Parts: sequence; C-alpha cells; structure tokens
Amino acid sequence: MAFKIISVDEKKCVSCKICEIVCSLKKEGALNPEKSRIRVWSLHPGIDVPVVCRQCNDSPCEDACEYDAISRNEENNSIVINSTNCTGCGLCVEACPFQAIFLHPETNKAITCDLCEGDPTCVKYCPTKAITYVPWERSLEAKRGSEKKLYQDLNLFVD
Amino acid sequence: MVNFGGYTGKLLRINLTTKNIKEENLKEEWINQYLGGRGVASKILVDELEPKIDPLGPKNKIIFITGPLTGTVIPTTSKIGISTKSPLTNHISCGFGGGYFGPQLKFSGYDGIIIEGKAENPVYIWINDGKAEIKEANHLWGKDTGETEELIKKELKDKRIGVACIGQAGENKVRFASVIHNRHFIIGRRGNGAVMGSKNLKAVAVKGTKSVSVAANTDEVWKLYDEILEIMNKNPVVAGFKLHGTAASVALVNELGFMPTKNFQEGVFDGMDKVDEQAYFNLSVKPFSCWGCPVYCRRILEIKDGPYAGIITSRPEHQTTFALGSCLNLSDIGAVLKANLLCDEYGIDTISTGVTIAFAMECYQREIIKKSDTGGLSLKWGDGEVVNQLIKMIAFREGFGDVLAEGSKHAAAKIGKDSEKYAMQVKGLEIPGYDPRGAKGIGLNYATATRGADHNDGWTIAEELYNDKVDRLTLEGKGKLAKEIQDKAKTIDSAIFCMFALDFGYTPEFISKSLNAITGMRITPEKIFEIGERISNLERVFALREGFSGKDDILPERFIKEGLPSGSSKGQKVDLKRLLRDYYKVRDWDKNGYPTKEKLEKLKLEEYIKAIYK
Repeated sequence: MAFKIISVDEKKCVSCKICEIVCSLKKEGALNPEKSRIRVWSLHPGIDVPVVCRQCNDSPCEDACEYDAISRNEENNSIVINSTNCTGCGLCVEACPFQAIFLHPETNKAITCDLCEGDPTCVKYCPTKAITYVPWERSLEAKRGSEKKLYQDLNLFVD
Repeated sequence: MVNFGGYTGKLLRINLTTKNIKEENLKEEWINQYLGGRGVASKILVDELEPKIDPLGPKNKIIFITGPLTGTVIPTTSKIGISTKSPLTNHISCGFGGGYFGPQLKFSGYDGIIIEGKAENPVYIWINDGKAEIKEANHLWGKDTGETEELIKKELKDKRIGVACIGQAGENKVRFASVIHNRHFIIGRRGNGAVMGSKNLKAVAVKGTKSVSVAANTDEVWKLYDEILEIMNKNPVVAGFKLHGTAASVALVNELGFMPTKNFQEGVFDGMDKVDEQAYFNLSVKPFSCWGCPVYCRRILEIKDGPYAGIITSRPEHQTTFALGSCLNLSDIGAVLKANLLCDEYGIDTISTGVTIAFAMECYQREIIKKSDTGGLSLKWGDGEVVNQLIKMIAFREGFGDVLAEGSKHAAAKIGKDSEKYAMQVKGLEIPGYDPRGAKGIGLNYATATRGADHNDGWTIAEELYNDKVDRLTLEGKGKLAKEIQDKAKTIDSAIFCMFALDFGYTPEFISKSLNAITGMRITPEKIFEIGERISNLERVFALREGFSGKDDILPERFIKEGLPSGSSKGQKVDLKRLLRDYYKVRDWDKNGYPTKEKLEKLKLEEYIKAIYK
C-alpha cells in the first residue's frame, strides 16, 4: 500500500524543538511539549533527534494493547487511539521501539502522531526541513532499514 | 494567582540554611510596574537585600527568573534570567542565557526561584512539576559543567530535564564564574556562578508537564506566530545570524578600527582573518538553537587536525573572539577554541577571563610584574599555551591565578604600582569587544550601565554600525541613544525576548501585541519602554544605596587620554564629560548622577526617594 510518513533527517535538526510546541498548540490548543505527539530526544547537548510514529508494518503498539484501543487509519496509515477504550496502562509505550507513543500528562491516555489529516503541522513549521512528509519509498527510513538498531547505537534513551 | 496569561503566578522561595521551601504569589503590582524577568528580579533584590552586604555571604540571594512570554510559541523568548548582587561589581547582576532552561522552569510550574542562605554541604535543587527538593551533591563537587549536567540527568533518569550548574570556578568563588546550561548556553557575566558556589549550590534541575496559559484564543496565537515568522524570514540580520551568529561582526569592527587588541592598546588586529566568522564557518559541524527559535544562530565546531585536533566546542561569539583572541593578540584558532571550551567547562566568563589575562600581559609588557610574580610563566602576547594554562590556574585559584580570579580591578589593587591604569573595567566589570573610542555611544553605555561595562545593557552598536543616520564617532545625540537603548534592553530583558529581537524585525507594536495576546494586559507600544526606564532607575537606586554615584560613571583613562594609534578610527578619544552631561540631562538625573525626585515620582518610584536622599 502506498502511504506517506513523517521522515526525519536528524543531521538537519538544530534542536529548536519548534515541532514539539506547534504540535501541542495544534492538537491541544496548549503550549506544552509534554502534550506533543513528536519529541526531540537529546543525544548530546546541541545534537538532538526528533522522534515520531513510524507507522511500523507490524505495529507493536497495536499488538501490545489489551483493550482494543489502538487501530490503523485505513486512509493515511496512521495509528489511531480510541481514548474511550484506552486505560492508560502504558503497555503500548513500553512496546514502541522508538518511544514515539506517550501518555498524556493530564488524561493519562495514550497519544501519538495522527499526521494532522495529511498536513502535519510540525513539518510545516520545521525551520530546517529536518522533518518532511514524504511517500514511504522515498523516505530516509526506508533506505536505512532498521531504525531501532540505529537508535540503540546512538544510545538515545536513558533506561 | 494572577489574572494574567503567560505567568504561572507562582514563585518558589528556597532557603538553603533552614531548608525551608515555600511557594509565594507573584504580585500583580510587580507585573504592572516591572512586567517580569529582570524587572521583577531587580524589584525583589532592591526590596529584600540589605545595602552593602557581602555578595559572597549568606545574606545575598540569587534569583532564577522567567518572563510572561517564556515557554510560548513567540520566537526568541527562551532566555532564563539569573539575578543577584554581583561579587565582581557589588551591583545588580541580572544575566541571561538561552537554551531550554527558561521554558522548562515555566513548565515545572514557576515563574521564578528565589534562593537564600547557604547550605552546609554541597547540594543541588530539583524541581519536578511543582515539587521541589534539596538534594545532596557531594559527588558532584569538583566536576566540570558538562560532567555535572550528565551526572544529574543520569541520576534523575531523564535526558529531557533542564540543568543549570557551576563548574570548579564557581565552587572556588572566582569572581567572574558563570552558570552553564546544556554545555553551550551560558549565563556568563559578573560572577553569578560564584554566588551559587558561595551557597554550596552546585546546580538547579527542572522539569515539568504544565502548560503555559494564554489569554487570547488559539487562532490569534497562530496569527501572531505566522506574522513574526514572515517578518523574520525576510530580515537580513536573521539571515546573517543563521550563518555566523554574533561572530558576523568581528571582521567589520576590525575594519573600522575598534576591535580591541592587546588589552585595548590598539584597535586593529592583524590576525583577524585567522579567527573571523569565515574561519569558524570552515570548522562548522552543525548549527543548533535555543528553544523555539527559528534563527538557530549557534554552531558546534570541531578541529580535525593539528595540535588542537579533537577540540569540539560551540562557536565563539563576537565577544569571546575578542576576549580570547584579539585582546590577547592570539590568532591561533585552535588555542582560541580550546580556551573557549575550558572557560565553558570550568564555568568562567570568557570576557572577564580574557580581559583580566590581557591586563596581566600588559603589566608583564611594562615590567610591572615579572616571572617571579607569575610562577615562572612569561606572559607574552599571543601565547596560546600560556593563556590556557592561566585559565586553569584562575578556575582552580592556583598561584598567580588566585590573583587574577579576583578580576582585573581587584587584581590591580593587589599588584599596585599604578597598574589600575591597565585594568580595562568599569565598576569592576571588564570591558567588552568594542573599543569605545570607535563608537562613542557604547562608551557612554559602558560608563553608565547599571551592570557595569556591559554591552548588552545598552547595545548602541546596532545603530552605530548599521544605521546610516547615526555617526559612530560623533558625540551629538549619544546621550539620547544610550538612554533609549538601555531602557529598551530592560523591557526586552523583562518580557523576556532575546536581546537581538529588535534587530530581527520585532517592532514595539509587535512586542505589545504579543504581550497583550499572551497575558491579556492592555499595554500600548509607547508604554512598554517606559517600563524599561522605570527598571533603569530602580537599578540606579540600588547602586546609589550601595554608595556608587556619578563619580563612578567613568571609563579607564586610556580611552580619554590616548588616541587609537592606527586604522579607520585613528586618533579617536572619548570626551566622556560631555557625553555624561548630555546623558544625565536626557535621564533627568542631577550632576551627581542622582535621579531627580520629580523623575522618581513620575516613574512611580517615589517610595525610594528616602533611600537615596537622606
């Protein structure tokens, strides 16, 4: 199936975190990076990597959910969360290999990128085009193969 | 709680002696009079600090402060302010640094933190979503700023927290020790780091999940955001900053003959092309940015070969290029970058470090000091190895470094033999990288700024370099220019915007519009800079109460008596007396530099009349 993803070129990221703040403003009407669906993870001071849902084929988040709260949007391939079903148990957060699904700080429900109906706000405001919305085949992610290994190599997350 | 958006309405007061932690409300009266940021911090210090206390004693307080726009989508508002009584100048020392700490403090639920007293043993403060605790920091004492930040993030198991910390220099109470955040963001001047060290406070760490409230509806915020982005995208200064940051001006200032060289003995640096913006650009690894800023004016540089191979540091600013380069006649870019890195790791201000070393080098040149005074070092101009050795000696107060760690003014007093002539400082603060003989407005600002010889307190340079209608060498109109820019800077520091916002195309109209949208206040473009004027005068009250007066509004005699020896500003001197007469008049200050009673009343500062008119 042809679909588009938010592709990240971390070499172009300047650590401004504008993507986080515009996401929270767009999705929540709030100025609050902890409500953002995209997060910029620090690798080293001055060197950061934006992380956002990769729409994995095998979707470990969907598999992990025991409450039937995660499904796929057939139109744009994004992950959809049913917040009525979501209990905030956090199994999906643990299952995501990219740490791209989060619990909302107030509602405690899972949140992740829904691609803003095909016009992602983060992409629109990224000042360096470090994030772009492109067909999967043309994305850096498709070229690289396993991102998970890359992220582990970068020691991106603190356990 | 306050009835305004933007603010959290809450301050945290932490006493390190009693370990008492309490929340206080931000007073609405402070918002109306002083806006936030620097204004509010100065108000608290003026009201709470006893005059003439020891800045390094437990009676001093140190304030971390944000403004109403901190943590909002409006660009260039990420700065954190840190204010205290400076151990270098005995004056208010509000300093600013970029990065992420300001917004992170706001998201944790506070507009600011007031820290008092002195901890018995090393500690750090951890504020997590409205909860604060004082944590033990024995294991962090002795670590540099990068290591400290990493260790705290590891210990708290989170890379997204904000840390502002001191290095060894702050622990050793070097009078110009800085506070460092995220390795590259520096609250550099006037020794805020030494005050933290004197309190046994190694770091402050913050994190939060709270939103910043906004008075206007979301559509209005988007409209403002799109409006300012469009302005910034067309602005040529923004374009220049993206490439070269503040280093963009070093070659130009040198060409115009006022790039201070060899401790301000000369205004043209022969080695400039080896350490100018292009030389830096050639070493660029990647740009990086403060929080929410589309200008991303900072860069990481790496030296790949030669004796300094492996040095990775942030690109020196204009000021560092001067202080650790031209002022020391040092053109070896590797040595300059290493010096910059060491200053950031140990946590000392690059300007005061460089200018204090330059003072020592001139004393050595004039044989006021000899090898027997320096522990065997020959302080020859342009010797990068000696410079880097001295930086370490200053940070650890080793040998002759212990003398220099006091700053050029106190060091000159210790050395004696008329050496104070070569201490390039005003009110104890070392002079930044524009020779005042080549730009008279900045000279007047150095002499009168409430923070001492501080370029950011009244950055007339933008006008004197880039406005065709302003002649940098004439005296006419410089009183008004310095006064107006000093007042604007106070408003900018209180909102808080980046000091370059006005150069990036922000107009008074946009500033008032964004303040009104975020906070819900109704302030006109005309009124916003009146707040700045109030803060300038309030800080003057602090100075007068400390015993400063017009007699301290001076410049080193070199600028008044010696003409620049060569270059495009050859022969220029500063007629400071005339500049000051003009300035005091524009300010409504009397001939002794006291604001008139009428002026204080007009600015609603009448409660301070008694404090300065006995």
